[in-house]
Amino acid sequence: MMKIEEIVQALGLEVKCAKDCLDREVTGGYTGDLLSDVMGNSKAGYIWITRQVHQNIVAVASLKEHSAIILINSSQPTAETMDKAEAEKIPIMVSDLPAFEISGKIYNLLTANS
Amino acid sequence: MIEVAKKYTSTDKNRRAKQTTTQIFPNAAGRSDQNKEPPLKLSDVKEILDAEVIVGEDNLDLDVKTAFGADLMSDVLAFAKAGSLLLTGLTNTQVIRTANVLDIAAIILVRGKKPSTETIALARELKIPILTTKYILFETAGRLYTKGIVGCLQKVDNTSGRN
Amino acid sequence: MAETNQNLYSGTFNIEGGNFNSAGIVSTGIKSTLKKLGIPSDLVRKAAIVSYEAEINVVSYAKKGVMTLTVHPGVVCIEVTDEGPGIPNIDLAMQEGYSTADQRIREMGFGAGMGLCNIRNYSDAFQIESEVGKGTRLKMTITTP
Repeated sequence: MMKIEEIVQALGLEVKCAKDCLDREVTGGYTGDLLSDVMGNSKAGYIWITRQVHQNIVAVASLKEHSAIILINSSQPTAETMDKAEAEKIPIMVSDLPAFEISGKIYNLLTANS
Repeated sequence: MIEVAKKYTSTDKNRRAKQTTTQIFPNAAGRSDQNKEPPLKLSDVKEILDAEVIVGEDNLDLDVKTAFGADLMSDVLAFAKAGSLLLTGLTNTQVIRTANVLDIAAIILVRGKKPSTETIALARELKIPILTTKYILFETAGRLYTKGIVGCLQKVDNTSGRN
Repeated sequence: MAETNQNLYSGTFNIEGGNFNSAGIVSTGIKSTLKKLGIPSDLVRKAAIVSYEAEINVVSYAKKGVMTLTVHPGVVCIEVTDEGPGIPNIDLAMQEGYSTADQRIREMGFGAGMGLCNIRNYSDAFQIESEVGKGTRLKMTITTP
């Protein structure tokens, strides 16, 4: 298992909020842009990779107890999303990579460290 | 869904042990043994993903090098390159239309999704292969990335049309 | 020698609002028409993307609409006029991520507030006019570089 911090470092991610919550363990990953799908199928501890930036992503991540959210293609969280994520202590990171590539890299990091 | 950590066989473990020292560097992250250099064939993709071919049984010798994963078709339209694989959890006819518009090589449905009969009929008509895999998008991307498929970003930077 | 303003093709197509099963048929047809005319693939791709996003908008929001395709050497022009609710604030609608889409549209993989941005970014010239209660008109021009 890896901590969020290790993934941030290995992939050079930009941490946008909840910077003091990076010591959580990442138990797996989920890539998806449909909130109902993510609600239904992701699990606690997963790192969620998405291009949605709306504040609803924080509610989903919080309810599902995700370890963190990664926004892809340099998508920027809205101000409301940032505020909410800070309050709910959900780290949000930004990557300039597309979903496929960031998922591939994290999958490999997680399997290498399992 | 299955956690990735639990899904590995012993040969994978040996391979990983050798790789661990290099894997902390971003660009080295996890490209394990590439005894088969891309382009892969669609038949290789089928095998890697333990996928079922729904449309395009005759097109499995197609070469693929790049992939794009998304559930938002506008995202696919904005970024995906022609000739890529499209990995998605959506199964409606608009996935086929989007693939047609962009000349996507083949569609991989994730999470064991099965397309509707309309979707299958349209894919046959437009000759776009559809495969379905039981893996979630995250793991589908992970498995293909490990075998050397790369992501694609074709951003058209066209600001002249701005009002 | 061909005149540069020679009209290679013009055609008009109806779009039915609310019918998600047929959404995309018009743009699929436009794409194959352009291919048959021997238009460079980069232009075909851009024209297909903008016409498809525009068609999805008509299906998603309007009662009906009309798409016109005009092709001159090196220039593809697509115009879409709909009878729909109109857009009260165009600046807001052009902002990436802004959307008024309902759940049904979102489940189709659209309605994430990217459509008009895609249309603008893939067009070399783009015009939008809208009147609340009447409808919206888009004009997109794509040219060879």
